Amino acid sequence: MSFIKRFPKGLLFGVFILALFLLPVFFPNPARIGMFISCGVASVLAMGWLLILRIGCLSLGQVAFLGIGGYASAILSQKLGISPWCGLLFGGVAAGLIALGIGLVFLRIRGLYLAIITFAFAEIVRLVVSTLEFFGGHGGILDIPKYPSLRLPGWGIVNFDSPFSCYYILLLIVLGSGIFMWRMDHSALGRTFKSLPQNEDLAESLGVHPLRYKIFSFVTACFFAGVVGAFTAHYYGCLYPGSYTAHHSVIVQIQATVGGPVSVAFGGLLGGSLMVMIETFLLNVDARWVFIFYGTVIILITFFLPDGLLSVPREVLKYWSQIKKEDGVIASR
Amino acid sequence: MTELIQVFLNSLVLSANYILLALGLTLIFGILRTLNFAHGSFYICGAYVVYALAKVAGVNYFLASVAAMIIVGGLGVLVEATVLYPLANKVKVASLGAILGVSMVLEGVLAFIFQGEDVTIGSFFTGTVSVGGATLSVERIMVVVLCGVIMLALYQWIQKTRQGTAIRALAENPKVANLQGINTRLIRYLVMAIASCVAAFAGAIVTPLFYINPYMGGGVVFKALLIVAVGGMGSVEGSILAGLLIGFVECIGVTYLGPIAEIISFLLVVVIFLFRPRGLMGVEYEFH
Repeated sequence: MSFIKRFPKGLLFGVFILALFLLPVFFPNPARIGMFISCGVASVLAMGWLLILRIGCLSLGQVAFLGIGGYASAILSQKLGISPWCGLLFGGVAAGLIALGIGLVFLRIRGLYLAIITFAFAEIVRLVVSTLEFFGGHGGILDIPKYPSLRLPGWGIVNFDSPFSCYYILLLIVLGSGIFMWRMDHSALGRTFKSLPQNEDLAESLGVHPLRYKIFSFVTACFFAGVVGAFTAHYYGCLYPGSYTAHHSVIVQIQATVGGPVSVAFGGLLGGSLMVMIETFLLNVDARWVFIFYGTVIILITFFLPDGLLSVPREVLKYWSQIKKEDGVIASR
Repeated sequence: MTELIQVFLNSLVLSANYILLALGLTLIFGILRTLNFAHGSFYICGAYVVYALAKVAGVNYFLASVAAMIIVGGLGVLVEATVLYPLANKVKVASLGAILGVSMVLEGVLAFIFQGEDVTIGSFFTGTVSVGGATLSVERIMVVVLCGVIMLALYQWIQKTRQGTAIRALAENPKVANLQGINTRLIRYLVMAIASCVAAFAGAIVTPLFYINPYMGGGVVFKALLIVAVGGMGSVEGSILAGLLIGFVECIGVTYLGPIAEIISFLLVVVIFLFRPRGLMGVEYEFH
């Protein structure tokens, strides 16, 4: 079983990235590509959720930042005529700034209270956008400008009017946030994050400023959620408050837990993509199965694989070495 | 004046609805140390059992309510035995995730049985009385009275009886309570059964005023969780106080300011947290 350890992970990763870039070639069906786009959106949200879990906080309001990014970008491009390409950045910055503001105040609170606070914040955001006329009220915002065509050197003029071309925009966002969070997770910063939930007081006594690191993780996660939110606003061309309810935050949590906190980037990617694919399939059968499916999956995962699907190789290795050890004991008798 | 009385009664109905759910949640938090996201589903289950028995099968309304309380109480015990107890000593995220799963499964199953459409249970107390020139429906008054009775009974039970003392001891310090010979397992079952019964009662008694549909459990439970947090998790008095506060603010706000009032109640929650991070009457609990 040691081949798992010896396997060239870099090669595997390269093939994986290549496969992601070639997906539209294998699946020339626009509906399929639409599904992959939903997968990407869910993946970035799940990654953010896992990054926040690293610092020991449970966020029940990730979709709020998706909404903030989307609304910020949509309003900037509609009212001020800012290009959607800059809107992607502005959406992220808006979500990040708001995350910084509420993080400075609320990340001091520990435990389950923080989960409830994030939920209350998400509901405030949803209620604000659904009651104020400035944000379009219950009907949401329609006719958001789509991505203008770009002149790329060597490619000529590229139009972004089909799901296929938009898929590549999203792919770049997912890869960017994934690599960023992966690097963050595997650096000294990531190790500091991991120390916080274990013993915050001890970490503080060793010179770690808990609030600073918590805010760093929280703002990063929310920034990328905002970028993806801005992407969806310009991709779908409309926004409405009903897609940012507490129910959606719960779904983010389930997707992230299915992927597992073993690795922030890959856990989010695996959990988000897999769950959205199955969900799309179930929606074609009967929407009511989606509830039962999500509920059953999260119960099974917490009981049998508490560290998510990514921990399967580790568990198998552990099981294998245990069997070997027992064999050795028998042989030595 | 008449309008004031109307608003007052409506606020009381809303508060009673919130408090009944929050009481169960705060008891469960005190003993089981988890946020019971399935509480809203229990509430809707209670409402649907009454709907199925009273409206469809034609059983007497009060019998149906009692049946709903027994069935949902059993459901609560089942959830505790199969899901929550095995996860009791794991990290907090595990039991939270599992209980979210339970609530989603329950909603899905209800949607399959009852087709996921809005239904009404219908009014059981009819007629109106006029108080000080205001016309009030008997139904709303009965809801407030019944909720008050249940609330008082629960409060007395926790404060005065032996089991209630055991519950308070366990909530305060599980280790010391165990050393005194309190059976944690039994108390856990008892709390879960009582809390689910009260949720079902709330569902049976309050929902005739509204429409019900299988998916409304999530929204209800989140509001109740907010109230529990504002009151201070694990504190019974705090939940009652916070329930009244949020219920009145919301109802008065909606009457005079329109839909923007919901934002006010959430903002109020945030402000309370800013100044009292453990809630109005919160006690310091140890978290994982």
